[in-house]
Parts: sequence; structure tokens; C-alpha cells
Amino acid sequence: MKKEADQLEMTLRLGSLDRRGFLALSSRAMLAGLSAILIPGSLKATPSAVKESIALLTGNAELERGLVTVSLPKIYRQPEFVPIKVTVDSPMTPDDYVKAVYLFAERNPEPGVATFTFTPECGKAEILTRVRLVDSQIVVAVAEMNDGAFFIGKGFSKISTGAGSCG
Amino acid sequence: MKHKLYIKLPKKVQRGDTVFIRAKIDHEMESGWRTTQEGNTVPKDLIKEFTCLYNGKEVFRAAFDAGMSPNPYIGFYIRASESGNIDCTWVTEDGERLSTSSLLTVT
Repeated sequence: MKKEADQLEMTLRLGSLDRRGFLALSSRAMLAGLSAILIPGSLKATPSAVKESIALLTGNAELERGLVTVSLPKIYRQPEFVPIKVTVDSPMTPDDYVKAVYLFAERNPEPGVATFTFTPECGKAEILTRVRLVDSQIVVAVAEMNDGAFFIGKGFSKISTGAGSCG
Repeated sequence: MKHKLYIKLPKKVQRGDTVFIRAKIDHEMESGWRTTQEGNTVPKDLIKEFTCLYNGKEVFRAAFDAGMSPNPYIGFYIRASESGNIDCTWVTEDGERLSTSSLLTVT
């Protein structure tokens, strides 16, 4: 869109916009606009959208790495039922425990997957569940500790669907 | 009953063990991403929330979004301290509460 707008501006500036050129340009711009309006389902969330929602969640706190593990199958054929395991390395004592784990899928139409809230009585901060992944993508898990620290972990799964897909 | 509820836990556990609990509900979890042939979007219909109480005290909670699979299954841990009931409650989009409970025997 931006490129086309630039092109249009340039042609206008040069004063050489004939009818055919204008039609071609406008129809292309219209198509691009229409496809964005008509098929909202085809629009996917982006990694930057996930980043924004994480920033909202954490209040721009620093995300540390290391404690959170996201296990996903390397290749999976059923996008509706992708098994996932999220583990946070924590002793789960009343002084040091995981408060919550937030899960995001980067390329789903909506990135939100689930939020899990733990207490020290859990004994172990581990979750097994199944998620929807409409495309091969990265799943992001953010863990919030009781002292206010945030940890991030990521996992990737390749989704291969359709007849005769060989991985 | 439209939505069938399941809880699975080990029959006998020792005090202090971490017990793995699996809970599942039969539900479509309509994401609101699909469209019909006429081009209308299928409205969202999700299980919004899951809560687990152990002896009447909340131990674990989950909030689900459209990214969860149909028939949402969840496996989590609790630390066994004494024998007691494990009550699991699911809340649908309309606020309907579905609960089931199971007894955990600690030796």
C-alpha cells in the first residue's frame, strides 16, 4: 500500500498520470484495501502484536530468559489439537512461587491462548494442554513470579496439513 | 447432559507428593474465526474459566481464550496434604457453571 501511495504521489508530482495508469493504480490499491476488509479471518496476528500485549501485561518490565520451557511437537498434522507442555523451574514454596503463566500464539487470528494462575499448593509449575495453531508458528509463554519478575520462553511447531504433505 | 466432564487422578497418594490431575470438558470451543458459506462469521462460544478447589480452597485457575483446542484438556499438579475433595468448575460464555468433584485419598 505504502509503495503504491508513493508511486501515485510520484506520478502526480511528475504530472504524467494518464487515465490507464490511474485506473491500474487505483484498482490495485482498492484490491489491497478490499482484501483487508473482506476477509478478516485471513488476517493474522503478528509477533509485534504479541510483543505489545506482553508489554501491556508486564508494564514494560524486563523479560528474563531461562526458567520457562515450552515443549511442542516439531511437526504436527492436526492444527486444532497441538499438545503443549509449559514448565517453569520453581520450588513453589510460599516465598518463591509462580503466580501466573500467560500463553500467546504469534500467528493465530487472535494471539491469546490462555492464562494459568498457580498457588504454592500446586507443588510444581507445569501445565499440559492442547492449543490451536492455524499455521507453523512460535508459541510464547510469559511467567510472572510472586516477586514481580517476568520470565519468557518460546517454542516452535511446524503445522503440516493437507493430503500428501510430507512434513 | 450436553457437556461431559472428566477428572482423572491417582487412586492413592502419599502425603507430600505432587499429584498430577487431568481435567477435561466436552465442548466445541468455537473460536469465532470461522465463516459459513454465506460469509457470516460463526459467533464465539468458549469455556471462559476453569477453577480447581482442593478441600474448599482455590488451588489452580485457568482463563481460556480462542487459542484453546475444542474439548479443552488441562493437566496440572497439586501437592497432597490431606484426603479431601477436588472440585473442578468450568464457566461457559453465558455464565453457566458446570462442576464435578472427585475424592483424593492420602495415606
